[in-house]
Amino acid sequence: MTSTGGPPPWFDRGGMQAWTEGMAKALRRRVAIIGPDDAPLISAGTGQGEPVRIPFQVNGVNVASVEITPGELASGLEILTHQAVGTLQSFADARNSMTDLVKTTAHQWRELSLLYRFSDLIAGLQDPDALANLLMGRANRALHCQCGAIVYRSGEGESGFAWTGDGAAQLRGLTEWGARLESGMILTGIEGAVESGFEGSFPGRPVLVVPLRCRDRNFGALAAASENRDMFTAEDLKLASLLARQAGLAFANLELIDQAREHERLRRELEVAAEIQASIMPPQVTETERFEVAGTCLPAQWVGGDTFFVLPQDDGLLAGVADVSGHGLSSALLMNAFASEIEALSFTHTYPAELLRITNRLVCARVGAMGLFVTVVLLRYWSDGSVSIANAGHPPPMVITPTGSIEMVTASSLPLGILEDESFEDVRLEASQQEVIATYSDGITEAVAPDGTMFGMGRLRQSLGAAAPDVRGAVEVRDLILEDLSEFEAGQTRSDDLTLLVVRRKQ
Amino acid sequence: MVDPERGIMDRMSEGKQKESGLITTEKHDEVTVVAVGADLDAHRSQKAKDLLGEIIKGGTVRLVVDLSSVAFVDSAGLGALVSALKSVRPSGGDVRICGARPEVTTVFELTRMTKIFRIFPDRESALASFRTDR
Repeated sequence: MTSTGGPPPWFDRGGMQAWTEGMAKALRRRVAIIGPDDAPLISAGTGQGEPVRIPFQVNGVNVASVEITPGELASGLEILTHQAVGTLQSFADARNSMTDLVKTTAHQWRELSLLYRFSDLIAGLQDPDALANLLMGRANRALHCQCGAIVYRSGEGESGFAWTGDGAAQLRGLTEWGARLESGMILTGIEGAVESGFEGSFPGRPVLVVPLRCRDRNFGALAAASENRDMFTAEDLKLASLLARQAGLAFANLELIDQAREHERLRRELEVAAEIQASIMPPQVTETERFEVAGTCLPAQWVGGDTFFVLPQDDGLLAGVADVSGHGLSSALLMNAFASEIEALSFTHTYPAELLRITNRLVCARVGAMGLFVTVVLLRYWSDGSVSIANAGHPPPMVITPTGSIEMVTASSLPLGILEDESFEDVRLEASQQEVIATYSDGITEAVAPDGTMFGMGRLRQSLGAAAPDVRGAVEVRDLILEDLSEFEAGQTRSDDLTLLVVRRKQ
Repeated sequence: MVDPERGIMDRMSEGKQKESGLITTEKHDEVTVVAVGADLDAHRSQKAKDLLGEIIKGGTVRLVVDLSSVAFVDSAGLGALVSALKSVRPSGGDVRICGARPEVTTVFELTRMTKIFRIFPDRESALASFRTDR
């Protein structure tokens, strides 16, 4: 039999004193509680003779004994005392279990407090280095490690390294290896590490390594070497894994914040780009003595690859619509360069086919290899009211004749940017053959209704036909088509840039 | 499963091999038939362009693009085909179209792409056209 030294942890002197005194008074004997080292802890009453000693066990271990002096009713009293001691033992056992429970609860409470505090501290952090240092400090305190190290993403793809304690530098290789793990592990020696796939070296003490992981991605790893040669426990690994998981989430959030900032910066730049593009577009309505021109250009995104031209000339007008394949920023950049070139060349070249021939070479040289191309239709009105139309792969302009019929002028050439030696031609319509000409990009004919059908050239022609009988103003024709298109789309999101230009010859 | 470490030519040599939900390739001697499985719109055209580029980088310069499953091709989709054509032409290759539906053929005609792309009603006639070239 073994005994423990000193009063047991459950020993309640006040309660024991009351119990002993009660027993002594009832039995009229001396009753004493003797400690494991035979020293009396409590004594009450008086009595003579060699006392009987009844062992008092807690969880099967002698922790004390009860002494009672002999008397007339000794045997009966012994039985009674045994029963009383039994009751006391049950009480002590329950109290002992409660003590264990309290200890366990206190331990878990400390863990929870640590995690809560860590979670609270990292919530406001926006610096990965500060986050890593905080994690290092908390992990060191929680795991009582001799040294610890963290590798982590410090932003812009760079790797950061935080450490604490002597010998931490030797943990770097192990930590980098740990950043590829899916879950943490405890390595008891170099053999265990080699079996796990680690080929570097680290201090000869047990090492715990956990990845900083969130949503199936690793943002680094934490490694800690034990303060002594005792193994880390499963509880240590659990706690380290919880800290690492919180840190992983925080690193993931920092990455999202960086991305959001970058998106915001790009959004602002696009806003400026959209303003610039809008400012270099011609006005939506241009009215001269001989022409009324109404145009609109709606990019699918901030900026687009569509544009229209309205360039009044001494003897008439140069107008047109162009569309760079695709849409978005790359198309917009090409379109802005192309529009400037058309405008500059219009001072020296009067025929639209000639303008297309020159710009085709420029586009081929610049972006031909990228597969980008430009469809464009140019209308060059002359002093006699006739118009020359050159079409490079663009949807056919729709012409309202003075009699109200609608004719189309289909393309004869490839879009610009495909074949350097492509030829272009002008189709001439006399004044008697045209009164209003509508040019448009495929964003109009390819607009989609909720049921998936496309607006198409048929519907556009029909829409234009509604305006044709008593040939109205350019603005009115443009708005009629746009209203019909809006009704057709019924709120569907557009995926392509959309441009419409209506030119009405007044005389 | 497709092993990303292996070259596209190795994968194609197995006969028919799905490259993605968008494109399926089938090798016929020196000609690769590329079947496009979805509309070539603004969202898919860049992916199609990249996949075609990958096939061409693998050494294929004679392609038949089967558009029989395609209901719509926009300018970006045409751009993907033009880009492929420009890549193979310097090596004496060509990109030919087959199976295009009337609405898709109209897009080629309106943009005058018929000047640079030969369009065939089906795979057999497109493949036969390459054989006659030899």
